[in-house]
Amino acid sequence: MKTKHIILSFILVLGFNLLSIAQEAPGKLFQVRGFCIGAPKPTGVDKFVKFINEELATRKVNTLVLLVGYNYQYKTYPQLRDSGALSKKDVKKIVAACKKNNIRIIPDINLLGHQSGGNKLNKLLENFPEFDETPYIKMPEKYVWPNKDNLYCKSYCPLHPEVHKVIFACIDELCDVFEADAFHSGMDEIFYLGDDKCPRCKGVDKAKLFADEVTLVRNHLKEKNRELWMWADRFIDGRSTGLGFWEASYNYTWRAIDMVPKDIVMCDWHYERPDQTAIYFAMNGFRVITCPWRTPSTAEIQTEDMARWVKYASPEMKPRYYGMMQTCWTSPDGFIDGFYGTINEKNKRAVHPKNPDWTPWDTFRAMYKKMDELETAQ
Amino acid sequence: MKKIIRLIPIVALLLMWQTGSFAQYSDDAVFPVKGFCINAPSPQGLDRFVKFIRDELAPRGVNTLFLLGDYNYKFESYPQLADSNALSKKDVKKIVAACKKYNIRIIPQINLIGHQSWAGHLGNLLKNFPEFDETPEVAMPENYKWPNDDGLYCKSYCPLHPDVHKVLFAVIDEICDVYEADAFHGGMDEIFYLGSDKCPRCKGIDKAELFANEVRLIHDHLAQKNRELWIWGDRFINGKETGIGFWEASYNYTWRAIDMVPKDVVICDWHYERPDQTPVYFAMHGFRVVTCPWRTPFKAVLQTEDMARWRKYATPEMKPKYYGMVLTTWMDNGGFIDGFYGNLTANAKGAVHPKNAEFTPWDTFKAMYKRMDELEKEK
Repeated sequence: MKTKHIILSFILVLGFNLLSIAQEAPGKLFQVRGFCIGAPKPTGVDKFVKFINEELATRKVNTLVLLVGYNYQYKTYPQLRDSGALSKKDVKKIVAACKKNNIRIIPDINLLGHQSGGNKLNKLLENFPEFDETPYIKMPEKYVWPNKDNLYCKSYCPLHPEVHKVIFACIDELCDVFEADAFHSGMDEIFYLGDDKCPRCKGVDKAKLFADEVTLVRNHLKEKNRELWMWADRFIDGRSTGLGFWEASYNYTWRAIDMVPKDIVMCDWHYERPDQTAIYFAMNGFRVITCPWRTPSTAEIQTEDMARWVKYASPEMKPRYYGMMQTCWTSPDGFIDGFYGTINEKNKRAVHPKNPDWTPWDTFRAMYKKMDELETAQ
Repeated sequence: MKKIIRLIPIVALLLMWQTGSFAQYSDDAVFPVKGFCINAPSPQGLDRFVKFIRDELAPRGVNTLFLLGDYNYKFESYPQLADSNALSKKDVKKIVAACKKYNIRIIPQINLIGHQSWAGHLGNLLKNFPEFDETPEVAMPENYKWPNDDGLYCKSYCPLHPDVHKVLFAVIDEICDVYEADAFHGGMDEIFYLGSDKCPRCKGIDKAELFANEVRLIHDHLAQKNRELWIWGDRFINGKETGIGFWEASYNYTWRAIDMVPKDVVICDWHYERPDQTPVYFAMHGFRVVTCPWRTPFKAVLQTEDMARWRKYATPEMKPKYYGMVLTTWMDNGGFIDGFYGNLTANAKGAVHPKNAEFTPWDTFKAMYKRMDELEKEK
């Protein structure tokens, strides 16, 4: 008789435990289990949706940063559409797959920087050349890096009086179609900013120029209760930390860390070393996500770091260690091919030059395996 | 025969070079700074402390000794500031000789700005120069209790008093001279009284600027004699934002000073209950930083592992910023040695963690150095 009671209580306790685990899961070790990739072309949508169902959902990815840019048939500014851009119907297929699998989509348009790639202007500056921060720098016929103009990518001028009308329309439209409550604004690797020849920007503190643009975009999103996510490199002093001018800043923008709203989510990307920069962002009051790329062993260490930071942080700091996000920097088509073992023209440049086993897909597998191990061990 | 004679001066030169460079830390080391921080002994406890240096610090490879002295020295420049039972020059030279012998760099300390009183007692500076008091309106209580209505933890001197630095610089120079020190520790932790609204000189001034200016002034004075400034790190951390609180971080607006002081100040970042990752913040701001545990052995072990890992994976620019570990004791010199050798005297008892009898500064000292040794061997 007593045994019965004990069994019943045991079941109750078990049930309660299971229940509380399920409820607490999002607040556990990795709040964000992220994946960041370019949006597919219309012909690749079905393949991508299948990948969501079979590989992202099974790994419990809960956040998908989708690099869309002008790969969407915008209605507000149809001239900005890439050729062969996604239709609303295409997008809704992706939205449905993510909804089904509880994945939050965060669409991205590159703001400020990345307004050209190689020798090609992107749609914004092609259609609105007056927004160019450095109109006197001509696009080269054959692009090589490094070059005498220090042209990595073009930027738009954040002080041009017309630029935000266009950008905000696109942001709103994209967030609406993806049914998104957060937007990723890129803003990485901005080399052209506050140019000495720009009649509006010259002489303005670059940290302030950058912070003002970030804040303006954040405030616009906030009006519709949307969050701003962005790459974090411009907030790090590249010279004094030795992190360099790609994943950190050489152009005086780092002081902007004290000038932007604290509810921005920082996507802190480091690929070759497990840099401890996330601590810097968390101590400055930001939620921060560590973003590896194609070096599995480094991504594993970064994952362990994130777990340790969460474990030992003060209650105030704990929720700021927000999670991990795999980045791909290859087309979704190429990534999926690589993931299933095919190296081709679309993905071979994503393989690390030092080691053929260092790829974004191997890193994706290794990182999520490590995340699962750490969550199980917890 | 000739050959041997020729070799002798070379060997002698090499030997001299080695002794001359004892204060140089190796960038390749797992821990460049292997530190220990304790109150200077009383004259009566001196020989015992010298023995402790020989028997316990030297074998563990301790290469840096913070000696918290304040006015425990018979100053010649301001004899009125000396404690009643203070160390003589001869006493100090015994410590200096022992440390020289074991290549231990002594960094003497006098608390600057804050810690100018303790509980109900004024420190010697304010006792002799009451005009330096930042908050003369706050009377010292007969019966000190924390918390209290005045928010009195310790008194501070006013960093803008026109005469205060004449006195401070004299005692700093004297203490550095007698200890033959190329670095000085300025304390500057837990400063609650700063930029008081009632101070005619300080009121209305940005507290970060007040704090930074005082740090810079001391730094510049030391730099003139090629000496380094070391200070505690807490005033540079935003205590509210980080949740680290108002002791080991700041609630009084001083944290922005991190961008206002010279980068060659060495930051002593102390955290006792959690292995906080704050050294990364200091290193990213361009400072050399040492992590300073106290009396929780397993936390100190985690902090030691953190320091080794940061150094392992850092960029070449950041690696030398992760400077090492310093064990702090926060108790009477003799009491620590009592506890270390298992004698829980009244002086030792006060340092035991209230939550666990095995959490003590001496157990932490042993555990931390054991872990450092293991990590060095792994390398």
